[in-house]
Amino acid sequence: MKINKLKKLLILFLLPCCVFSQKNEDHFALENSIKKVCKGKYTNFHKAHTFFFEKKKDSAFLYSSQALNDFIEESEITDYLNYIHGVNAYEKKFFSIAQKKLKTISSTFPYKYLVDYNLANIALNNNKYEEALHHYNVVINYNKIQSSHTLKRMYHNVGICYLHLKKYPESEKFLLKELSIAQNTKDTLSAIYAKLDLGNLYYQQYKDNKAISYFNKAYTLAKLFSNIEAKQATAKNMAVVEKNRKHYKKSVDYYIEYGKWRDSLWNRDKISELLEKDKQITVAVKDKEIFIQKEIAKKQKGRVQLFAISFIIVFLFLATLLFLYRIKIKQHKLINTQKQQLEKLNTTKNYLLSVISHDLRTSVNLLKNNHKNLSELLNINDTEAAILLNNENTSISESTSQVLDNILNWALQQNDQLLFMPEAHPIEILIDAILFDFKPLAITKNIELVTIHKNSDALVLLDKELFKIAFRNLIDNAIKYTQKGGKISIETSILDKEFILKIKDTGVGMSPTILDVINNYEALTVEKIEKSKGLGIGLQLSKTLITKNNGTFKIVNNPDVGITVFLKFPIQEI
Amino acid sequence: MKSLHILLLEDTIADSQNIINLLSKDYNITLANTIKKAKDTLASSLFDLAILDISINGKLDGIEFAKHIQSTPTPIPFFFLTSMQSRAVFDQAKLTKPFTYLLKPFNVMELQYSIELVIEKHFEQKNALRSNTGLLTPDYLLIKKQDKICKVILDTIEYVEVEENYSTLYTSNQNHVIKKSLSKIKEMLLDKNFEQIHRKFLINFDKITEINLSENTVYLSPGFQASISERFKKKLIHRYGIIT
Repeated sequence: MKINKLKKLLILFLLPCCVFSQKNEDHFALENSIKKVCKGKYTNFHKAHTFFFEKKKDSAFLYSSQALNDFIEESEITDYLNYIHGVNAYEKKFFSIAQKKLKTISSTFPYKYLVDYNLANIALNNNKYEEALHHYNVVINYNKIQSSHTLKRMYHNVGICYLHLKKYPESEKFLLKELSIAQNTKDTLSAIYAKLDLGNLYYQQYKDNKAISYFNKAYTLAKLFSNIEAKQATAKNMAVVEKNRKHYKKSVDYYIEYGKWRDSLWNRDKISELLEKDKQITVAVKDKEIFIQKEIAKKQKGRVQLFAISFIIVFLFLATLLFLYRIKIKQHKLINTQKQQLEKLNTTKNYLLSVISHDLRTSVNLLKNNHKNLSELLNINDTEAAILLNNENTSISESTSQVLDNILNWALQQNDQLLFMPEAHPIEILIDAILFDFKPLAITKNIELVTIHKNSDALVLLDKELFKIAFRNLIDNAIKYTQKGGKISIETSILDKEFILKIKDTGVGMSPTILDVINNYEALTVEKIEKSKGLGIGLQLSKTLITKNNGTFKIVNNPDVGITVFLKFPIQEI
Repeated sequence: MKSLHILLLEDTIADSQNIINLLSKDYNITLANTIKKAKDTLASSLFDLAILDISINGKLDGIEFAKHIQSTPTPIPFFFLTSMQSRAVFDQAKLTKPFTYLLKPFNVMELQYSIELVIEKHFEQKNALRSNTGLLTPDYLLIKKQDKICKVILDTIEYVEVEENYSTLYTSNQNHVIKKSLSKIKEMLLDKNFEQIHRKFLINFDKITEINLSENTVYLSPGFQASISERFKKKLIHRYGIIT
């Protein structure tokens, strides 16, 4: 019964003894010494001790073992490494490795007391109380432990060891030391446990009064203290104690209190569990939110795609519209051009009709009447008058024929139907050939027709038939408008690689308006001609054809009488 | 010297009569008023030139006949007559390029000019007639004489007298002056049987009847003789095969 009780209680007290991992003053000296040795020269060693003092046990364990492979011969560094490795192994509860490593450390190691301290803890963990006490005694003899915390723990452990060995006075001595340190350092929790330890110690010696006093003290202290485990432990102790004293009611109260503390502990756990749940729920909510956001993003993506597709469709639609619009514009342009062409053709046609009705109709009618007259004259045998009339008719027919030719050629030219085939020609021969035709007419009208060629054999690039039409018209005009007894001189010369042809008459001259039109417009369009009535179709045709043959055309009124037509053509070099 | 023989394809009587009136003084003219007759005539006799009215009986047979001329082994020069300067008509005639055309109505000078132009174009000897250098065809020399063109068969030349840039060609019935220097004349007569016997004279070897070395004179056809200079005597004797 007693043994059971003892065991139950002891389990509680042994718990804190293996905790050593807190950083304390005792390790500062060690850390400085190691840093002095290492100075960062050895990678693995450096990593091992750095991780060791940063409490990264696994890394420290790994690198210390690797570093041990780097150093074959035993030295100060291997001692340090063995220590680091051993302590880490101990903290990871690899007790045999820890013991082995710690034991290989040389006896000259300056922190031997720490080694012994750890060996003692290992022995205690292995329930080897004697061995533990041996090492603890070595540590106490060194008297180098600085940290009150370590000291307190050590005294506690020593006390426990003695308790196990049933050496109660020694045990009492060390547990009291522990208590005094706890009270000095105002460590309430340690004080509570120290008191519980002492209580247990006395309880085992059946010094129940002393024991109960300690248990009570511990219980009171715990009541004032916030630590629930301490409250629970002290309450349970009190319950056991009262039960053993057969104070069942009290015991039950303590048990109830114990249960309460256990429940609150459980509650605390429950709360933390709930908190955990809450956390999970929060996480779930968050996940859900994220999921929703993702869904939204997906939908938005879908919307963007939809937007893009609709944009493309609209764009294609617009492009098609633009395309159709352009086709329409093109058609419109075509229609416009055709319209302009049609208008031009219509104007041309109207002009031709007016020419036909004026120039042609008049002379044909005149011819008709003259022929009637001629028949009458022949009837009355007036041969002389008949011959005169016939001569007149001949010249009228000739000029009518000329007008007809002009109308035809002019119409062809307007429709760009005139054949144009320029070749190098001796222009003077062409001039003479045309003049040859006019000689009889000139003689009839008693007009002096003079030709002066200053240079022969000049070649000019032109279409000979077109030039002949133009030149024939000019001479025809000159003869038509020159009075009987007048003079027409045709002069050719070459100046600055240009062939110059002058046709000078002593005719009636021309009105300034017509001269203006004929000299100032490069191309004589129907519209321009319409504006200047009186400009004959022959003269227009001449100007157009001369220009077409790369020539220039100019008419001036002579200072005295008549006009001079100036034609210039570039000379064809042989 | 012979006149040119011209083939005239013309269906309008007034026009053909006019042309014949204008040209018959200087040229021999054969008239055909259909393309069939023209083809037959061309096949049966030799012509130097053809004048073709484009429109024959309402069809463009003039152009058709021009194509026929061009398909013969020795095409003769030709030109077209037309009363209309329309491109539509000539677009079809373009197949017979190079071509020349003359617009109706025309006078003798225009006709004459067209004849000259077309011959010069055909034999690709520009200005040869107008500048009076003589136009050489495979068979004869064409010379313009008082506005008419006549042909001189080179073998009928008795001898040539050269004076500066001009040469006089003596034939049995007429003399012709052309603007050609000695070197040009020699070049022209290269593959003919002519021999220079004097600084000024080239004689037709085939026409020699007698060489009188004591008189230094070569007698050719009756009435023609030329002096030999010492410089060319040896060569002449050598060629003629006389041993002195």
